[in-house]
This record gives sequence, structure tokens and C-alpha cells, in this order.
Amino acid sequence: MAQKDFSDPAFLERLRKRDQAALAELVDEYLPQLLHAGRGMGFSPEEADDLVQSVFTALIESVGRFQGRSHIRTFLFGIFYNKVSEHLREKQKAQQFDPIDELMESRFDARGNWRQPGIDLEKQLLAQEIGEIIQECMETIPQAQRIAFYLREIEEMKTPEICKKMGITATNLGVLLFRARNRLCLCVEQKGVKGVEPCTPAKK
Amino acid sequence: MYSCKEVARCIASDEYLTAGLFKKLGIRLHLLMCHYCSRYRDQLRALAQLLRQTQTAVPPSEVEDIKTRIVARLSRKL
Repeated sequence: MAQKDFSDPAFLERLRKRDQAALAELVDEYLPQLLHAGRGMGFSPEEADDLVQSVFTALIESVGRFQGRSHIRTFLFGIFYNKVSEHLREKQKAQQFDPIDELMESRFDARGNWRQPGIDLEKQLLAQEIGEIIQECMETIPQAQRIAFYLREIEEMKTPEICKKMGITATNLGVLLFRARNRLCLCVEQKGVKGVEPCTPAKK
Repeated sequence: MYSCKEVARCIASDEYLTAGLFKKLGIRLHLLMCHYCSRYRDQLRALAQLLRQTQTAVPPSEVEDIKTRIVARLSRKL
């Protein structure tokens, strides 16, 4: 099947006229991606549904302003990220204290040296259950941290882009990433990935 | 010379990516010499890689259900 050109002026005109078939085509094309992103950012399936619904509703309302200069996907995902950052602002009071920082702190001695090395996770790459463990551990990450982590590691966005989309400073982003990564790392270690050989004393 | 704690913080916060030349070099040097820190860096890398590998698409049947619901609700607004 030929790739549908959603940026075609004729198609955009149909959207502006609120043509139901055109809208259905657009939903068909982008719904899986939007749902995937929503769930990956830690929204529950129900929340992700509502979020995506509100994205398409906003699209209908604003498509009159869309000039077709960028790709419709960019426009649609622009709305999506706006909704995500709105959601974050409403939900999240500036979280100054996070227990993960103390946990991380306790891994170092007074001089800032590691007390113990971490587990060699690379050896675990092939272990089947690690995928599940990671997904379980992802669920323990607070949402702002998870969104930052998702945009960086899955969408592979650069710092300025993430900051713009989330409406935060680079310093804030650094804190979110630091916490998300350490939480994931410690959680995976704690779940005691099976079959891990005991850590050999590392050479310093 | 940077402490392990500072190196770990720079790596996990991505500060390393935007650090100046000297800081970057200092961190690299530390990583070359410090087994614990390079293990930590490898852990973060491995986790990110695993996370990418374990991404699963929303099942098509589920997408289809959601689509029906969304299109129905949208058409009420048209």
C-alpha cells in the first residue's frame, strides 16, 4: 500500500472541514505511536487513552491554524507534548526531596569513593527475565523522572529539545535523569537478577 | 581529580555531555582508571539498551478498540 501523504494540502483541507473519514485515517496512522509513547511515559492505559483522546480533540480545534509548513506528525506530537507537560504541572509539586538521593549517597564513603561495585549487568543482557524486571522497575519511577528518561533513552532527544517539551531547565532535567537512572539501577540490582555471579572485588 | 561520587553524578545527569573540555577529559581519565565508575557507566548503558529492547508495541486488537472509541467520541464533536 502506498504511503499516505498526510501533509498533502487536499488532505489538510478535508481535516479543516472536519471530514470524518480523513480524521479516521489520521487516527489510524498515529494512534499506535501516541499510545505507545503515552504508556512508555508511565501513563496507565486508561490515562493514555484519555490523553490521546484529548490530543485528537485539540487537533480538530486547532487544525485551522495549521499551515502545513511542518509535517502533521510534528504538529500532532507538539500537541501531545504540550498535554504531557500540562499534566505534569498540575500533578507535580516541585519535588525537592527524593529518597533515591540518600540511597545513592550511601553508596559512597566520606571521600566520595564507591563502597562497593555494582552488578555486572552486561552479563545479564541475555537473561530472559530481565526484560520483565526492567518493566517492573520502570513502574517504580515517579512520572516526571520517567518522562525525562523516556524522551532521552527511547526517543533519543537532545537536552534542549526535552527541556522545551517539558518546560524545565537543563539543571532540572539533569536531576530527573540522575534520579530515574539510579532508581532503575538500584531496583534491578535489588531484585537480585538471577544467576549473577557474586561481584569480584574490583581493582582500584 | 574528581571523586567517584562526582563522576557518577555527571554521568547519570548527562552533565558530562555538556561539560567543558577539561572536565570531560578529567572524567574520561577517571573512568579509564576506575573500575567501579566504569562499571557504573556500563550499568546505565546496559539498562538503557535493555529498556529499548524490551519496548513492546500496544497490541493491534487493543489499538483497534481504542480507535473505535476515540473516533466515536470525536465524531460527536464534528
